[in-house]
Amino acid sequence: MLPSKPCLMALAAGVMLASGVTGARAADQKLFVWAEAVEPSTVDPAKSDVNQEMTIARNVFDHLTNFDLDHPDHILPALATSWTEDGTSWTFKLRDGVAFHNGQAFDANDVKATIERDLRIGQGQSYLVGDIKTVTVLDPHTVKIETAKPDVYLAANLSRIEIMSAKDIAAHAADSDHGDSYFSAHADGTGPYKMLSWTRGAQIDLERNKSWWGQFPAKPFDHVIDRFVTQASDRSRGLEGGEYDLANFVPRDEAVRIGKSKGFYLVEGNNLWAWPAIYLNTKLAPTSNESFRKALVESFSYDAMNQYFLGASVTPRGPVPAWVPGSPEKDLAVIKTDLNAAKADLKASGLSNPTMKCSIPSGFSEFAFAATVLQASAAQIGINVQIEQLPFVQAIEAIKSNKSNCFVLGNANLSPTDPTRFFAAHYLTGGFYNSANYSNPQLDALVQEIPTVTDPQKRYEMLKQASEMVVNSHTIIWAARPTTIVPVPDGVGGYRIDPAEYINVRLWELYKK
Amino acid sequence: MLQIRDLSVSFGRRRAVDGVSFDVEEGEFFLVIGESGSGKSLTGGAILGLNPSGSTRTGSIRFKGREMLELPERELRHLRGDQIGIVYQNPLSAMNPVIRVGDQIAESIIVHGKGSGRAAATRAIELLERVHIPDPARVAQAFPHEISGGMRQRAMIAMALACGPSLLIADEPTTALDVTIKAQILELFAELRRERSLTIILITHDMGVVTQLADRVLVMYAGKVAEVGPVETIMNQPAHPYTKALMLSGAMSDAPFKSVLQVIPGSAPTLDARPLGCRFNPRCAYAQDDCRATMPSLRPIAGSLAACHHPLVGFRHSELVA
Amino acid sequence: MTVFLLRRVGWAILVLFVVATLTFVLSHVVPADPAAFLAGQNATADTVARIRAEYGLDQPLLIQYLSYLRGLLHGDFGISLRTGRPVSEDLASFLPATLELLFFSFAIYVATSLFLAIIAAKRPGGRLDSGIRLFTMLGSGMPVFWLGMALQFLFFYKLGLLPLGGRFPLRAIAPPTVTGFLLVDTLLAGQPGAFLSALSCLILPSAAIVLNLLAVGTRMSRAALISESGKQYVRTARGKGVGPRRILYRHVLRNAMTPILASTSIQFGYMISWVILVEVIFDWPGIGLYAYQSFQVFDYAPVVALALVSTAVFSIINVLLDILYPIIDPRMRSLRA
Repeated sequence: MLPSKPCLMALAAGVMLASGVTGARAADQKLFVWAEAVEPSTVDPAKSDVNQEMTIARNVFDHLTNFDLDHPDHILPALATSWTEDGTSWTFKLRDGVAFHNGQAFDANDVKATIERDLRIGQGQSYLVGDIKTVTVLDPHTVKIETAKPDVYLAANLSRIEIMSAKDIAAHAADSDHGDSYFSAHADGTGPYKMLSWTRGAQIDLERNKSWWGQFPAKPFDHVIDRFVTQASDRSRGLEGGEYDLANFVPRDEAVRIGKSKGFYLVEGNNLWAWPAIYLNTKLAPTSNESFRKALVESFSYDAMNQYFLGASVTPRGPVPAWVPGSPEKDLAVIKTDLNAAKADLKASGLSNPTMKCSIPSGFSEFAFAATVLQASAAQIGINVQIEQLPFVQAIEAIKSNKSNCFVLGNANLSPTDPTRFFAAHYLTGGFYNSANYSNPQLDALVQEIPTVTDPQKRYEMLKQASEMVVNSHTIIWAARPTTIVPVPDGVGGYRIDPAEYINVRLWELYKK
Repeated sequence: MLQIRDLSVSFGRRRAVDGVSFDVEEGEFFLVIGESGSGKSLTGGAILGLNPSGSTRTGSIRFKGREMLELPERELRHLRGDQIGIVYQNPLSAMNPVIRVGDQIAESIIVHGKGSGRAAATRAIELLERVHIPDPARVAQAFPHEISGGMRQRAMIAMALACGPSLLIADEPTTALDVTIKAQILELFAELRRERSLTIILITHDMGVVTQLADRVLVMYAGKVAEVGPVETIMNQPAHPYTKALMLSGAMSDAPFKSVLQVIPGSAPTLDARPLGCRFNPRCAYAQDDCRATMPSLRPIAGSLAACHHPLVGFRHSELVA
Repeated sequence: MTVFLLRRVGWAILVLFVVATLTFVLSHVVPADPAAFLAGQNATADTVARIRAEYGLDQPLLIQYLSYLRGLLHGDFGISLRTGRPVSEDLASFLPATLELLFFSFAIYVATSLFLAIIAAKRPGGRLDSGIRLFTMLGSGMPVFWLGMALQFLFFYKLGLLPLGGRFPLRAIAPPTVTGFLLVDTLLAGQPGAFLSALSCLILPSAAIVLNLLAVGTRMSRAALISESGKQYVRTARGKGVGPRRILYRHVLRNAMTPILASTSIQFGYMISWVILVEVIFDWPGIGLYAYQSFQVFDYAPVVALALVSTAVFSIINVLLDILYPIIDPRMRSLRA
């Protein structure tokens, strides 16, 4: 009586067709799918400052300079073919025959318009070139940039500034928002990939710029889909299942497992992402007590952290990682667990049975683990640590408004060579991520001065001194500095980790194996 | 026309109808009477195979020579509504509340392939007119809850008559109707019988019905036939003490059956608690030892068949009233 | 009838107002400063102050509330801090995806629960009935997000039959947007292959939603069918010689529709919330995912909009049901006259 037979047949047909649909995709050899954890808010390079926004900025736009990923202090030509420097004045010779994706030719006016726009907006990566005072067009292929004070890192930092079209900027200058809403949805650069479309909530489609001035590898991907995949489990499962060719923010244990399974290999490298650093609030008792903070730093079990990262991590000695050009790390004292010293310092603090609260952002297993290690370590010397996991925004708000003693966060510096950027956001007065609410005018002045010093040896000494100041403030526990591990399918070649970024994808270097 | 032999309707091992036999002649107005629980409605339903699920029928029901108990469901369905019409009590719940009256009548015509669409709709209006419903076109468009109780019962009858059946089974068609309407409905039955030579089985507990119309009467008690015979005999010379009590209550008032309970002490036995011997014995003023030991079988007594060890002889209804 | 409907609409508007106010209050007691997050981690204090002024975040709360209410009356939900676009514009691009998932799931839910209920009600307590009860109970026993992930694991990861998430397969070409409903647009564009692609993406998310709701839905419908099957009009219909199929569809089902609809309208409320949850699991680009991502960065305008839109959808469906009841059941017409 019931139409069960036709029903079953329809179901079977549906399943067959559906499998045909998913199966067909493997045939498309020139397509590359990148699983992005979060949808970008904007594709405006002047406002881009997080991972998902960098995916578009870095691949759609070009920069005046580039740098060698393996030797970040080797600055390479890009849109600028050569440059000269004279204290506060830099002159860049620009590449000829470069065109934007919309066909307009690139020239010096584009550099001027871009930098002026970045400085007016004051968001994104503009802080890297915040010292620029004027940009002058000398001729269509020469541009002069003048800074308020000498900045030895300027050429390197310009490798992070995406060059937009002056004509585009001028065309929208009369808009009520100066084109902000237009540029937040439209990206038109000279870079290796063109932005084709943005399907809100789903994906951005990119197409290879075949007339790009740079070099593609032998079998590049012609079509790239930047797919937004919110759930971490979906990203790893999709990568494993072949739905995605590469994914960012795959949980570490999953990344190792997938990378070691058949059909995958692991790419490992130094990176900015997810070093758990524990900030101790200097403005709220008991962490306002310096001896108490010192006791915490000394009690912390660094070995536990290195075990957690399965040996793929080191214990930092200061704020600047060893692989950053000019890092003083090797000359700094080793930081290690010393329970006796910790007990002595706790006694010196005069606090008895102290209790402190640690607010950590939820969703990061590394951060949660670091907090747990802190709790266990501190308990050994009689300190009670309470942990609460909060959404990122609430967690950082809790410590900045002195409602919590401690916070766990990674460290970031988008400049390939400028080590002072490790200080700006995290340790200098008023820095956005200065979660210890630490303020040391002497340190502020010292760090400000470093870029103006031309003598590398002197810079090194100053950097060492600044690093020691932060170490000796005992406002931070660098729990561990792990490498980043990215599982890559055997069919994809050319993936490299950019040390001066979060997890990145340099599409123009990727190829089909 | 209809021969029923040793019919039982059981729920599991319990027999709600227990070995009932009777005949209905063509054109006869046949009355089945009994209290609720006596099995009278089950007997009516059994003819069409419409008893509740979980019940089984045994025995024999022959309708126009065909054995109804052996007919497959599909063929029974062809008989229902076509050859045999059935009218239920309480038409407000017996009619589908969300379907228009006319459509419910037409459905019968449609499912038996005797007309479709407009033809069936027109026929439905004619049928409503036939059962003396004023403004039949309007009533056909109405929903059951929108018309009066009397009209609903007439519409039910029209529904049962839709395909021109030769046998009409009416299961308590006058319950819950007031006296005037009840009389009108009964008059309608009489008229239909006269004009269409319809055979009618009227199942009721209503004593007022008996005197006016019926040819023969079957009295049921606790799943068994107590007495069956021509209406005059049953009325005037009941052989079974139970029949006598019924007649007494019927004569005393036109009220429903519950007054019987006032005449006879006690109440009818439930399915699970039937007494040994004659099922009426605990309430019977004339009961003796054999009544409590063996079940009496139906036998001819003064013009009717009665199941009683000690039938009342010479009882005159008129005497009693006097 | 008109008075009744007006009263219902009036109630709906009152509910919307309360929801709007509640979400406004809730979203404004959040400790975070949205302007700081809009500006980004490396912005200067001046930039943050400028952005705060631009978005009116420096105004007193009452002023913000009033201008927010005034905006709502004009269909203006404010500007999303995360996407930088008017929320109404974002909604317009995300809502069709949500509605498509909602309506598709609803259709599947109604069809499946009725189908199962009909089978189960045929022989209550029978083997099929118990089997169906067990099957639906299993579905409702699992949280929706877990169910969604289990389905992904099985049908994408293990069997490779269906896409992991999203609304359209990665490597297929989407049809031009006409209605915003991919199932419709693919057919309008005459692309049966793309239609199946869109369908393949709908299967798992709606399965997660439907499986969770099936137990209650089937049980309600089954109960309604069993209770209606025992009614006297069914016996009358049998007495007329009507066959079982016609009895089921023309008599029982039409009468059972009223209680089934009543339970369905409650289930529909759950369905709206499950759709929002499932969107996050399956990366379904609808208003649920949109609001979820916005919520994570304390961008509250989309969250408010989601609350309002889902309340509105729920109210509209309820008003529609109220209109539908008397059509299905004529007895209700006279009750409300």
